[in-house]
Amino acid sequence: MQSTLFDAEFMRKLEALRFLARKAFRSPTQGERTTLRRGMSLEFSDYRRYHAGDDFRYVDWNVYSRLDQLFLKVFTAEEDMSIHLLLDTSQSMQLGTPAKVDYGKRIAAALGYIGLTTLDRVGAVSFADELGVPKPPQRGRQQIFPLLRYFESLPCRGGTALNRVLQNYATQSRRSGLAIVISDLFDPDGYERGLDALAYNRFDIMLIHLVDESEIHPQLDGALRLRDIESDQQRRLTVNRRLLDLYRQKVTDYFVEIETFCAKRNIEYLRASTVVPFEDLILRYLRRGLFLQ
Amino acid sequence: MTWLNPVAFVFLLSIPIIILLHSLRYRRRDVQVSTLFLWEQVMREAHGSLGLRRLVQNLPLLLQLLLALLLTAALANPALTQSVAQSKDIILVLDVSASMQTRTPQGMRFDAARQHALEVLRSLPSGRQMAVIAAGQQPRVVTFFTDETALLRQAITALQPTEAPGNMREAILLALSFTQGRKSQEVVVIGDGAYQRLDDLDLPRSRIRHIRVADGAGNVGITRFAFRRVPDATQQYEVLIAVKNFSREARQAPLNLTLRRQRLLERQLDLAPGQEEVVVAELQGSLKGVAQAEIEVEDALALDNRAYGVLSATAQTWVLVVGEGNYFLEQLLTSLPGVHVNIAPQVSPESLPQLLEANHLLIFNGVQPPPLQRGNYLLINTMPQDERLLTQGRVAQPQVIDWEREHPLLRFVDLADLRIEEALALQPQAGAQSLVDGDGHSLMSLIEQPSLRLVTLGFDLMQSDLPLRVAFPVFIHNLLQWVNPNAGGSTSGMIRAGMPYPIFFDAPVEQVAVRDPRGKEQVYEVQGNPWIFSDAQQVGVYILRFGETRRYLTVSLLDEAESDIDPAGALPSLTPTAEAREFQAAGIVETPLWPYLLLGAVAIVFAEWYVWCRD
Repeated sequence: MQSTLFDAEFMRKLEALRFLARKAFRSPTQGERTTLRRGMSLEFSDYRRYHAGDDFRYVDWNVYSRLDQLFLKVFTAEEDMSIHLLLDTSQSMQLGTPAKVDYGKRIAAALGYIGLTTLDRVGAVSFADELGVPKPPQRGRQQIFPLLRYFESLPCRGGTALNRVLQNYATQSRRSGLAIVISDLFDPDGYERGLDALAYNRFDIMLIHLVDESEIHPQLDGALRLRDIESDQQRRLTVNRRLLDLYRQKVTDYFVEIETFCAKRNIEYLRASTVVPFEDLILRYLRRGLFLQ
Repeated sequence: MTWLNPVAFVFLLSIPIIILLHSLRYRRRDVQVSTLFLWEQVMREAHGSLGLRRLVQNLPLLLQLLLALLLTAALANPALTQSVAQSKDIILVLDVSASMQTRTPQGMRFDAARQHALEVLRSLPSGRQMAVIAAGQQPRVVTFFTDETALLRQAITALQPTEAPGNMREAILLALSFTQGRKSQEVVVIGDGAYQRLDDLDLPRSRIRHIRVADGAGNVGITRFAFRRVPDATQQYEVLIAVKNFSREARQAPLNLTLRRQRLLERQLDLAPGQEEVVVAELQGSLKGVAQAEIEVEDALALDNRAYGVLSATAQTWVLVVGEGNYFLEQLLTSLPGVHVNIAPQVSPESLPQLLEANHLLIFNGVQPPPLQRGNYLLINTMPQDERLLTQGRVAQPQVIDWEREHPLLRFVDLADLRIEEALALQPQAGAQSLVDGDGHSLMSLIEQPSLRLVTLGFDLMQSDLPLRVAFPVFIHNLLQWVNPNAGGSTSGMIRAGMPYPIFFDAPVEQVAVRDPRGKEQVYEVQGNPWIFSDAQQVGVYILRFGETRRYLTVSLLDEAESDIDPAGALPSLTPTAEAREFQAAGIVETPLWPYLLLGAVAIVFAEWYVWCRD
């Protein structure tokens, strides 16, 4: 099994990981993941009163003999989890060292690999100013290669319209699950409504915010013509130390704003710098952030 | 404000250079970024507005342009001109020439000039000094610099106009020599503008203030008056009288010429404005005495309405040439009007007194003269028997080293490169004077005492090129004039007012009594022969008496510049420029501004440095 995204050794390390689901998901199929939803597994969970129409097979007749009331035995349901990998492939993602999109592809591929090895359903979709061709959620190890090839083949093009594409995806997706959004979040129109739409549609959201050091601490000086790689707009600017300080402050404020937003909506947020080795991010930072176990 | 060094504005060319360098320096680097919205927030917050942002972006350029402007302005040396109360020493030049006697409705021009002078004195700032110069024929320093106003007032009040032409040129130059270029001193010229042309003088107008006194106009005057004896006619004269109308309207001028109350000439002249009429007439008869030309007009200046001259009947000069004949000498002497020449091969000592009575000059040409005690002699290529002049043999081809150019005998005589084949090596002793110096000897010597004039020429005229030079007739003319000054022509005894007049005496004279035209008599001590009489300041007839001799000296104005009492073109050289007028009017203090501009430039440099550090 060969991939340009990561090697076999790293894959073995990934196989020891699995996602932590923080909320119960309704899934039409039974899986290996214990959910808060009452189900039909062998693990006893609780009793509840009998209601008309309940399956008599689950009536606890011993209790009925003692209390002369009908109670049903409730067992924990075991469901599979749908993991939705949403990767930003706008043109801004091709900047950075390494390119943010490459870093994002590897994260998405690694998380998808983890999901597929733990028998979760893993789907993927790229987005820029429009949703890309999605890869529907599927389960099984046999989906690993198609998933990796899917990510490898994604080109960078177009601008960013986070709100619109996330809203579209939330409404178009037939099953909720864990939505892992990987983006640099550089969208002048914002990201809030898109994330809200996902949350409204019962997605558990993990937001991985990719940043490059050149965007946090730009090494710029003198007279410049700044060109937006997506819109091709230009701004003439003479950068000096004071301006750089101001820019850094603006970036920091922007990050704080994102963190605050995510915290209010119970969105797991991880800001990932491309200078952090990818393996460290997956094996250490994601586990530390209780995304994986 | 004035720019004292406007040439420095050439440094403004640095401005396009700075702009060019900035355009090269600020060639913007293209940088791709993920998004601009954060940068736009930064720009909005950092610069507030687009205009301010552009201003701040171009701040280094603006500062450097400002720096270039300030440095250029500093180099151009601007000065703030401020009018301040005048505080200068003053050299007052007061015109005392004849034209200042022009009559005006208020009196005389000089009275008005004196009032102006007193006003200048009154306006003299405390602590400042004033000098007064009277601009007459010869400039005269009346008072040197003093701050004693009483003394200055007295000096100004005591000044009177002369009847002589003025010499404003010399007076102004004398006054300027007092200032020595100092701006704290000002020359104030008070006059009527009737000066000689001053255009050729490069006068510092900013330091000269001219106050013109120009009341009174309309003058007709005699500008020229001369007699000439007609050659070869003993009792026939020609007279020339020029009369000019200096008025702005046509005038009639009846002209009369009288001699001892006898009317010699009478003409009626009709003169257009500016017209000069020259009258030339022949006069017959034995004329002797003082002649007076007069125009009978009522005009502003009376001094030039009369002119005086002396007609002298005794104008013959007798010369005796003793010795070998000399063609050049004889031809020259016989060609001179009024000169009679006799030639004798030899004279005896006994006949000498009679010859001296009959001749004004005896010339010994190569002949040894007898001992000479009195009389006028020219010795050519021979030595006198006199211990005051010795000889050391002969010298071949001697060179003329120098000669007495100011001596009456050698005036206008050029002896440069005179070629002499052989000459006596004259050695003047005490009592003798060398007039022409050779190398270690004399070529012409003079022994002069009250009764004896002995000129010794040390070489043969035929062994030199002197007779072929212009210097020869000039020398002989000077010699004849020297030995017989009264034979100088019919115009002897006529001078212009203020001019010096030399008087030659035949016998020793110690005192000369002079009676001026107003009848005032004054006695002068005679210091030499000729004696120079230099007090002829009044127009009219001076009578000079010494011993039994009585001579007339006639003095006339005869100066066109003075008669032109309302000149149109004499003043431009004294007319101040607008800048000089402003300078004179109130006194201008020029405060240099370059230190402040330089300080501003330094501040700009610091600002530039600060902006650079902040960036």
